[in-house]
Parts: sequence; C-alpha cells; structure tokens
Amino acid sequence: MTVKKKALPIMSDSSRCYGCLTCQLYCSLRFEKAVNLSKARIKIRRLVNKDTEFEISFTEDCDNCGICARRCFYGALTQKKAQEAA
Amino acid sequence: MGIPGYAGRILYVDLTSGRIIEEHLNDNLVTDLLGGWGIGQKLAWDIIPPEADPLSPENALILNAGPFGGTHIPGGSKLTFTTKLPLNGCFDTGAAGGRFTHMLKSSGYDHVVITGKSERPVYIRITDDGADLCDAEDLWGMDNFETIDVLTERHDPCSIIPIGQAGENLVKVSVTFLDKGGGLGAGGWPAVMGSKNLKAIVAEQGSKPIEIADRRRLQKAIDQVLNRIMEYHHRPKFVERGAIALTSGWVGLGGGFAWDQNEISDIHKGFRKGIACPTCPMADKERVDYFSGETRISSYMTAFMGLWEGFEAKDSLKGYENHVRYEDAANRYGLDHHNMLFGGGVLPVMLDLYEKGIITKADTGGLELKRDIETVLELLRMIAYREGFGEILAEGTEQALKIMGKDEKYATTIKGYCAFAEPRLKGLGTMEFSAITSPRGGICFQGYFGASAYNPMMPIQGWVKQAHKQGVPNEAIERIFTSDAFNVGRLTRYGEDYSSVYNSLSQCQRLYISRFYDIDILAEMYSALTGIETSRDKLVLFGERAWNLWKALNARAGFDRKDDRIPDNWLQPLEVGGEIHNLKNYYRTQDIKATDIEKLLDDYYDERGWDSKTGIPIRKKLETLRLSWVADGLEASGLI
Repeated sequence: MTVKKKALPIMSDSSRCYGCLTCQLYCSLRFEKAVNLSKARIKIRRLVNKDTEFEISFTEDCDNCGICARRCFYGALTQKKAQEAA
Repeated sequence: MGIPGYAGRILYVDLTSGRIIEEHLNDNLVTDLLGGWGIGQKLAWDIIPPEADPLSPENALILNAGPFGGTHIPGGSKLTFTTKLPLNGCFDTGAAGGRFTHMLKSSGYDHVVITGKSERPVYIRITDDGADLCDAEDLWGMDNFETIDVLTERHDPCSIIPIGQAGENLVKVSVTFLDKGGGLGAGGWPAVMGSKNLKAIVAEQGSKPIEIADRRRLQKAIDQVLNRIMEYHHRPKFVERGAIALTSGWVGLGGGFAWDQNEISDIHKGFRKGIACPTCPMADKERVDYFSGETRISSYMTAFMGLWEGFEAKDSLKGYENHVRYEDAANRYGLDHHNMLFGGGVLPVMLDLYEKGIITKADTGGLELKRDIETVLELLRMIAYREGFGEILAEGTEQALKIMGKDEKYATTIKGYCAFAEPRLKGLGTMEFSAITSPRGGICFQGYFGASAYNPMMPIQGWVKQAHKQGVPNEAIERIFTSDAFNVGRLTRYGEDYSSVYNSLSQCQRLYISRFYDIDILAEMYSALTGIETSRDKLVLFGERAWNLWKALNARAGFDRKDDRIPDNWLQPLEVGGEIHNLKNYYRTQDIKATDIEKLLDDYYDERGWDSKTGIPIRKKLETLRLSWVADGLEASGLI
C-alpha cells in the first residue's frame, strides 16, 4: 500500500480507549468493502492485569488515512494537524 | 454467496460424542424469523425436548448472533441465548453485550448449538475452521475473571464466555460475565454449562468478512443515529460516570433506590474506567480500581447502578466499599444479582425471615444471619460452593423456602424468577406488567417503551410518541390510550414485540442506546445491510412472530395462564421510609387488586390473539404468523 502524500500521522492515547473496536471495523470497511476485523490496519488488543485496559497498534500497511481517528468516539485517536506534523 | 449481514452458518458441537458439524443457515429461517434470537427459538424448538431436565445432557446451549451483530451499527453487539433454565424450567432468553457476536461472525457463524455432556472439563474454541474441544482441567476451580485472563493470554483476539465456581457447582442463581462485562444467563445458564463440564466458550477472531448490501445507504442511517448520540447532552456525564449517572428517576426497579444516585456517582467516577462493547459510544461496562487504606479491589462490573434494591436500605451493603466488595465477589463466583439481591432475592428474603424468626439457626446450620457485609460475603461463598446452608440457597429463593418447609409467598417471584420491578413504588407500567407476562418470568425489560417505561408519572404524550416510534399501529394507539391513561395489558404486547425485534437483530436495547433508535431507522438499516427491503410493519411482524414462538416453546414445557401470576407480595402494602405504598395503576389514580390484574391479563391475551383461558397462542393466530408448524406441535401436545 502506498502512503498517501498528504497523510499525517495518527496519534493514539490508549488511556482514552474504551475498546469499542469502531476504528478497527471502519478501517476494515475502507480496505475490504466489508466488515472484517482481521483485515484492519489498526489493532486494539485487550491487556491482562495491566493498568491500561487496551493496547493500540498499527500494521505496516496503515496509510494514515485517518478514518480511525474520524470515527473514534472517545478521543483515543487523533490525526496530527499539518503544522504539528511539519 | 449468502445473504449480506449474515455469516451464513450454524455450528453444532456435541460434547458427548465430540462431533462437530456445521450447517448452512437456511434462507427460509432468515425470511421467517429474521435472525438472532428469533432463529434461536426455532433451534430450541427442534432440539431441546420440552420435558428435558435443564441440567441433563438433553438440554442445549444455543448462542445467537443476529444480522446487526458483528457489524459497525452502533449497539449491534448483543449476543442472545436460549436454553432451558435450571432455576425455573422456563425456556429462557437473554442478551449480553461484549465482543462475542463480532468474533463469532468473523469465523463465519451466526449460531452455535451445544448439546450433550463432556466426560472431562473442556472449553470450546471456535475458529475459522470450526471448533476444538480443549482440555480445561487446569481452569476448573477458577473464577470468571481468572478464567478470562488465562484464556485471553492464549487466544486473544477473542471473546470469552466463562463460568465461575457457581456454574461449576450447578448453582441455579448463577450468571456469567461475557468478556468481564456482559451479564449472560441469570437463572442458571452457567449451571447448564457446568452440568456439561464446559468451563468456557471462546470465539477467536476469524478472517471471514460480513458483506453489506448497500454501504452508503447503511452509513447514512448509521450517521443519522450517531449524530443523535454524540449530541446527547448527557453523554459526557454518562461516559464519565457510567449508567448510574442517569438513573435518578428510575423508581422501583429492583425494589427501590436506597442511595442518593448523585452522591454515589460522585464517588464512583473516581474509581471507574468505562469499557465499551463493540460499536458502542456509551461504554457502560466498567473496570473499577478501588482503594482505601489497606483495601484494594480491581474488578469489573456491568453497568454499575449502585445496586437498586431495598436490601441496601436496611444497611447490609451501605457504603461504596461494601458495594464494590459485594459485586466483585458475586461477579467472580458468577452469582446472579437478579435472583440473589433484588426484591425477592435469596439474600433479602433470608435476612428478613431470620430477623422475623421465621427461619432460625436450625435452618441455617447454626449460621447467624447478620445484616453486615461479612455475613453477605460468607453467604455468597457458601452458595457458590454449595456449602452448608448455601446448598439450599443455591436452589433459589422459592425452592429454598420449599426445602425448608416455609411458605413460598415470602418469595416475590414470578415463574420462580425474582420479580425485578417494584410496582408498588412506581405504579403498574408496561415494564412491571411484562414481568407477569414474560415467558421467562420476573424480568421486566421487555415491556419497553423508552424512558417513559423506566420512569414514573411520565406524560401521556411521551408514551404515545414512543408508541409511534416503536411501530404500534395507529388503530391500536387509538384503542389503548385515552387523554390521560392507557390500558397497560394491551400496551405491553407492543413493548414485547419491539424487544423481540432488537433481540433478533442483535441490537442493544439498553435505554441509553435504544432511545436514539426507532422502528423506521431499524428497518432502514436492515434493508441497507441485507438487501432485503423491509418496512416498519414487516419488522414488527418479525417481532410478534418470534414472541409467539417463544411463548409456544414455554407452553410446550408446561407453562400457561396460571403461571402468568402476580406475586402475592405485590398485593400487600409496602412500607418504605415510614410511608405505605399500595399497588396502583401507572398514574397512581386507582388501586389495583387481584381481579384487576386478571382483567388486564384478559386484555393482554386478547391483544395478542391468544386463548384467554389458557394464555396460549391459538392455531388461527399462529397460522396468520406463518407458524403453522408451531400450531401442529402444540396440537400434538394437546395444548390447543
């Protein structure tokens, strides 16, 4: 997957993640045109016996399209503004 | 290629033989029964003998994911189940939030049917390739949360339905906690798992897609709902504090509030972290990290409500710390709050009767029943392990009273299940009336009419508006409502049918999600998702059909009008805070007596088109609903 020219980094804050998987579902929809959690480029993993309940990670195929950040209900994912990224 | 929105397969696991097979989800099942819970009733009808002992290998555990389950529709993550409940022998159904529908459908299954009994403890692991039976000897004896932690390490990403010690020991007042948050199967689902030597069911994340017929159309409908949710003025407070933040008006659920909900939510917000089911913007499940002095408790709860019961009013669990200690212990063992704690629950009834001298140390095996947290925690342990007095209490309130030779009228139960509502405080609304008519017994949420049904004295205009939103036909609205009252018997039918739609879709019906939906948006989403064009009337008909099937399933198991009865206690005055409360209608303008309930039941059966003498669906009605095979079954059993 080619990284888009204008794509800006996705910032994650797992302390604000409630584990709803909405980001993962929408990510898979964008790439697969169907719901398929296993094909998402973002992964939300539930942790055991850790202070933070969830871990957020991205696969190498993530192109920073930002759909995960746009769909996040809880502010756990944000896309850096252009001036910050510069 | 199957119907979009559905995974397309049913998985059958027989624990006796170890045989695991799968079947294509027949399109006719979808067109007749919609999905999820509706199809689950049909599977139960075909597979579980009506006379089966709930704890025998003949009983089955049936898990259902409807078309919305596993998708990105907000609140589309409810797993429903069907089994014959050990507590009361009813064919039960219920819904739990969590990741299970998403994981199950990602492996390509809409339903799982588990039969038989394993010789040794096992857990089922569901994957793309079917299912494995895995050794669970090392897990046996672990509580719900420990089991989930071990299996998460082994199988994540996954979703887990565990049992704790209560399920292992066949306790009938047991429940499980799907993914540490979704309460599943109050009244003994875990005991059925325990009777099968089944410690857990794990659905791993598979790689199968869920197709969508019209993505743009579905997204438009989703965004319409999401806009409502995200702009909801109470949402920030809810996300910060959880469900307790919005419950101050909910009088009478579980026996009446004892605490100031604002005060308790001020404390609670400092210790909680919300956890969301997939697609949920409200995050009502919670992790609690409580600490005070030497006390440190990390636990999980499902929609902490500050416990809604009169029990607390008598100081047994008063105080946030005691409450957390209770929930942590009960949730770990897998003990069911409905039947342990609420109005007619094991704990309040036994403590009351002990204080009144009706039960004594001779009944309790020498145990003094004090109203303090230590006694309560010891009782929980004894029940979970069926030790001493706990052996009797593990059977549930009604049965425990029978065993002790005490009058069953002390139990506020309906069909052996604790009555969840308290109409003497709130008035007889649809939720309270539905506790009487529920084929499962006691549970009141199926009398759903939005916030109107949860709160007392809500304006009639709000009820009428909600009735339109739920698809109640105009002619029925005109018959049922006057300018200042409604016939609760007739109206309850439509709340039940609407609930049936939610369960069949796998859509969450918790008020803080469902209040943003209506029958039209549900029909629009279903049409866009599946490509099967569906109107509001068609969707309501699906709901009615599934409800009739559920009723027939229970009729075949021996339940009829005599079981749709009001608890004796509801007809007695209730004293709270020095005030006397009698059973009255919803607007509290007139007393309700036993004869009034019978009249309202007549109206309810008439509205349903059932036989008012037996309370059972008649052939003509069933044929109208394209359920002639159900009519044949009832006729073969001599019931119609």
